[in-house]
Amino acid sequence: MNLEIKDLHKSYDGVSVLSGTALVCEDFRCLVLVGPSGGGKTTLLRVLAGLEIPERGSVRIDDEPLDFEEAALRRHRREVGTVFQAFNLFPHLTALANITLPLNVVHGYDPGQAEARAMELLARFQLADHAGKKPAQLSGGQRQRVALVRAIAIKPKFLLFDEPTSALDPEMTAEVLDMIRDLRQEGRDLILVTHQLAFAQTVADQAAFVAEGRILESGPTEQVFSQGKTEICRSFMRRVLRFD
Amino acid sequence: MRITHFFLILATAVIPVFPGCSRSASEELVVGMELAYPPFEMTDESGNPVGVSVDLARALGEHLGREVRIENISFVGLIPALKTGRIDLVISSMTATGERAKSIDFSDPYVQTGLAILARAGGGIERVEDLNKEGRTVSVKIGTTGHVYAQEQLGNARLLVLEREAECVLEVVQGTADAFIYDQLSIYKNWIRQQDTTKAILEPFQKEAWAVGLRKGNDTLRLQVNEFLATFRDLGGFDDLGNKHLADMKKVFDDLGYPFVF
Amino acid sequence: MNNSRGEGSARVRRLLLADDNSGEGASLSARIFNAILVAAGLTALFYVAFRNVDYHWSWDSAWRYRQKFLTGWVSTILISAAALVCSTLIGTVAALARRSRILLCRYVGATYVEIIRCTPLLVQILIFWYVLANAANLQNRYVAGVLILSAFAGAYISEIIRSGIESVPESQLESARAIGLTPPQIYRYVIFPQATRQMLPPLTGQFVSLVKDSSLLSVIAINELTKSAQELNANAHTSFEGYLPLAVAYLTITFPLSMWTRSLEKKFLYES
Repeated sequence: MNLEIKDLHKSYDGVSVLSGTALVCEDFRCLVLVGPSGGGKTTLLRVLAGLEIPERGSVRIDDEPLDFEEAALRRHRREVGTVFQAFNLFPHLTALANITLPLNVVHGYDPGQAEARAMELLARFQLADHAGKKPAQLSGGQRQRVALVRAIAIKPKFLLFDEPTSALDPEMTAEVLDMIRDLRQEGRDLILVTHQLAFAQTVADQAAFVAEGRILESGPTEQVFSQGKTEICRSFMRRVLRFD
Repeated sequence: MRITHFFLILATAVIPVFPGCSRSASEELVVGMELAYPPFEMTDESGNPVGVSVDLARALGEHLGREVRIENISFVGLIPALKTGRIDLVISSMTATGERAKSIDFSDPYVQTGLAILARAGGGIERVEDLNKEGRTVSVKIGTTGHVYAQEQLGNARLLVLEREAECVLEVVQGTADAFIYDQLSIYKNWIRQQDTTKAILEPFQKEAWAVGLRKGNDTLRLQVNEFLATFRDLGGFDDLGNKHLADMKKVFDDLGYPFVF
Repeated sequence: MNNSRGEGSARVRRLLLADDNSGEGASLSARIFNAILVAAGLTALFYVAFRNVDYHWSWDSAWRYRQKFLTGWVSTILISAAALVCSTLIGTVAALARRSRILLCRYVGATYVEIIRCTPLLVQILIFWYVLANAANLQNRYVAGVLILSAFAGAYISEIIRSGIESVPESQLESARAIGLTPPQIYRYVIFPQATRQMLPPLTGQFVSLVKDSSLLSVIAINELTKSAQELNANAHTSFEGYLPLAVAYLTITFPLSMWTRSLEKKFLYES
């Protein structure tokens, strides 16, 4: 997919979070956003997901401009599969119902179709046994994987993952990362925010370094990670990659 | 061990210690009345009981050589209060009826009056029989002889049983009741205040006499009260009360040709 | 040795104490035993209290007027049921109004809730019937009674509903938005199911209160249970023979209501 971001500005309560973010990224399958906390990665992702309206700037995805108007944004959200760090699933619904809800209500599937599709995907990712359980009865890793299934069940144009493993322990993290790798291998387009840099290096073909509300570096993953042009990027990579 | 101790303490705490309701043999005479019936039972600006019945009670106390304490109790609660011993006498413009006499004793009557009607102006009510029809609504104050009369004699009418005289009058004034049945004096007083919207039919359709209420079997006190009432009347006590509290009413009743209460 | 005493006190402990503070964890025999204890204590309390009052009971007098009492009981059930439904509707509308983006809605809703919650029901009933209903030419006092009772309970219910809605975490709303649900859909599929669980316990309390508050409608001569008991007392010259059955009659209405909502609460528990 192609992504073009121009001069994005967004602030909350007078604090500027995105100050002129810009990016051109062509023909990529998986883009990873990395950078220090508070740098603006999550906000940028939320803009791409259609959940935030920037004060200034423009976004083009696959040569289509993103219209920052509520009704248009709602249509956009229906075509994007988003998974957050936590609290994705609705606690009062079973895993299966969590997946069929958007299919039924938003995408007009009839109940039989929705359930069939949901069960098929759950089975594919070894979650079929958990279909009737409520999120409280699932482990963290299982919950995130169900959230991932929900994201792909709607046949989205692309996926957005915001630190999907940050709230998980190492074993569950591995479980979720494996699933993300599978999704990549299936050929899905994906924009990912993560601290799991070693993992990022294996799945992402493009990377962008986000700090101080701007994208300071972008390009092929390998290049951004080991040959960063700016000192901030290089020192960040040094610090973080030391433990990977 | 500790558990049994706990149990013992709990048991002793649970045994109720209720003080008995008996009064000591002090000479206090407790008189119950509803202080919402001017000029017989009412309160002054400071909230102290005043009125005909209050004066009567105090005169009785003097006669018997006993301290009098006035208890303000809603009319419908007077007989129960008498029965439980919370009060010794009821002096609250209470009519002596056969039904009430099953529960309490009465002294000799001291006031002659009767039931009258406060009707909605233009409602076409001339006599009490007019009220005993389908579609008629009558308001009464709970526990009064008006209430009893309406229940027994006005079976076809809808009854609004309310707690306060003011509300009964309001229903008639607003037109949600056709008439209010109450004693002659009060009907007159209310009509004077609401002459545009109401009409008074003062000829009593049921004669009534007020008496002092006592606990059943309390014959000593009853005889004492009867003796007091006779003496009080001979000494002109009732005339004094009439002049003090009911002077203007006396004149009106004389003009209309109705016998005055005392 | 000391074994027998140890065993004995252990048995007593099992009979008197539960396993933990959760409200469960006691054997059937322990529960029956303690329930009987409480019932016995209560009976003893009332017995001693009434014995000291030196009251002459006239149950036969009271029995003669039972017909009115029964009609009043049925009236109260009907009035409470109608008010329960109406007040929940009013409460829902008011709660949504207070959350509305239209400022006028918000202010009207807030004013309604504050006025009702800060004034006594008795005053509201009197003003509603003698002033507002009179001005609007509403002649039927039963309709007026149900309306004012609904408006009264509705204010409290709206606060319960509002806090229930607000108890749903922000992240849930985010998640719902992210999958493309419209605001009405978010209310229907995400907020209300979760909010309901939060709202049920205080709502029960409010419903039970409503049944008891209906007794105040007696002041405008609505023939419900309390008025019937008052008239029974007036006619039979009694007090307790009217009021004790009155209390029991209210219990027969409120207790099942309480049980029903308790079972609803269990249905909505999704942590287990």
